[in-house]
Order: sequence, then C-alpha cells, then structure tokens
Amino acid sequence: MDVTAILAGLRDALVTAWQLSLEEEDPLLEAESQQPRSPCRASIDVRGSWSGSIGLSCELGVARRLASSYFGREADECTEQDIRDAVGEFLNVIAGNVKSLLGSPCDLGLPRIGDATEDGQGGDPVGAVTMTWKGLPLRAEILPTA
Amino acid sequence: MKILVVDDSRAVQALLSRMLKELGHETLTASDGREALSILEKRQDIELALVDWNMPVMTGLELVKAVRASPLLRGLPILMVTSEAEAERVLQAVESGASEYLMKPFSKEELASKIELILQSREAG
Repeated sequence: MDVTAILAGLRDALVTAWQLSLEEEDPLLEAESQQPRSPCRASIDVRGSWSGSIGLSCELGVARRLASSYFGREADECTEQDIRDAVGEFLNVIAGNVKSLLGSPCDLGLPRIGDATEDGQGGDPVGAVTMTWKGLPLRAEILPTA
Repeated sequence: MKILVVDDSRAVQALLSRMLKELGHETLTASDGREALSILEKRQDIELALVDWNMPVMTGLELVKAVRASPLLRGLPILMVTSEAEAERVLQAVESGASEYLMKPFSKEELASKIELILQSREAG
C-alpha cells in the first residue's frame, strides 16, 4: 500500500465530504498533527487487497456541527445518538472514497462508534491526516489490522 | 413525487428526507432492503426508491435484484445512493437493475439532477 497516496486520498475525501455534506462556509484547514482533547471516535474496517481500519476522531464541537447538518437541527439540540450517527456516517462516506484507491477486491464494514485502538481492532496508525474547523481538530487515521 | 429512502443510517435518512422535501417531494424511510420490500409491496404510490448499498439484513443490491424480479415492482425506478465509489461497483449495480447511481458525498443539486434524469428516462420510455 502506498501510504502517501492513501493519505492524499483521505485528505481529499475529508475536504470534499465536509463541503458537500455540510454546505459549510468555514472550510477544513490543514493542521499540525494533534489529537482532539475530548474526542468523538468512530472506525470502520476495510477488508480485501488491503485490510485494516480507518479511524476518525474529532472534538465534540465538530461532531455537533456534523449532526446539525445531517439532522437539520441546531447543534445544541442534537442528541448523543444524533451525534454518534452523524460521525459514523461521515466516516462511512470518507472510507468509501478511500476504498476506491485501494484496489479490488475490497469491502467496507459497518461504522463502529468507538476507538479502533480501544476495541482491539487496530494498532498504531500507519498514517494520519489532521485538519481543523474553527480551530477544532478533526483527525483521520489509517490503522493496520491488529 | 413519493420517494422511499432506504438506508440504515438515521443520519442519511434525515439528510435525504430534508433535501427531497426541499425539492418538493414526499418521503418514506426504510432501514434495510427487507423493510423496503415490504413497504413497496404494500404501497403502490411510491414512484422512486433511493437505496444505499451496505445495509444489514438485505443489502441494496439484493433489494434491486428482488424488485426487478417482482412482477409487481419491476418498473420502479431505483437510484443507488452509496459510498461505494469503484467503477466495477457502479457497473454491478446498473447490471443488476439500478436506474442511476449517485456517490456520497453529494450536493442537493446533484441529487436533483439524478432524479430529473430518471424522470426524463421514464417519460421517454
């Protein structure tokens, strides 16, 4: 797997999904590597020509913005379930786009809300992309199979 | 137009339902292919189905095949709305009977354009 190419695809997928899914005027900006301090996390398995997981973590404020866009409610009116579903779906969209770069055959699992490294599905990331929205970090990681 | 949105994600159901309402359509939702099939068999007023690919119980592709095999439902237009982005997946969906294919993420304008294409095709056919 060419990690550099996959990371470029991951970055493009993040930016495109953010713009199209949220119709958001404030773009995602490139940022130095950093971990969200109070993160919402999700991961999704990829099986096939490359196997592992793609993880997403973001600050609660970013997750609320996602939920607000998907559910059409004010950010502070979104429930915890709304936030979980929105983060899971956003990751699903990103992973689908990245999967197309990995070559066939390749299948996606269903999004899992929670940290891939915490539930034993992944090890240390082989690569990560960190971006920010209004100063709040959003980080996507490529995780090998544990 | 009455449109059935089939996706296991509440977030996508909500997003698509809102977009379709803004485009002037009515929507119903189902969380998997089997639930969708049950709704379609009971209701004859649904004119279009928007179908995700990866769902539990019955996938979107299985739903497309079931609809095309049903004498009652086989003429129903189906728009696959999915994050499956590879060309071979698009081909697989179309060969199985999907009318059109829309990759996530998408804008409301792209969704409207695909629905218009399906309407034009139906009128021409």
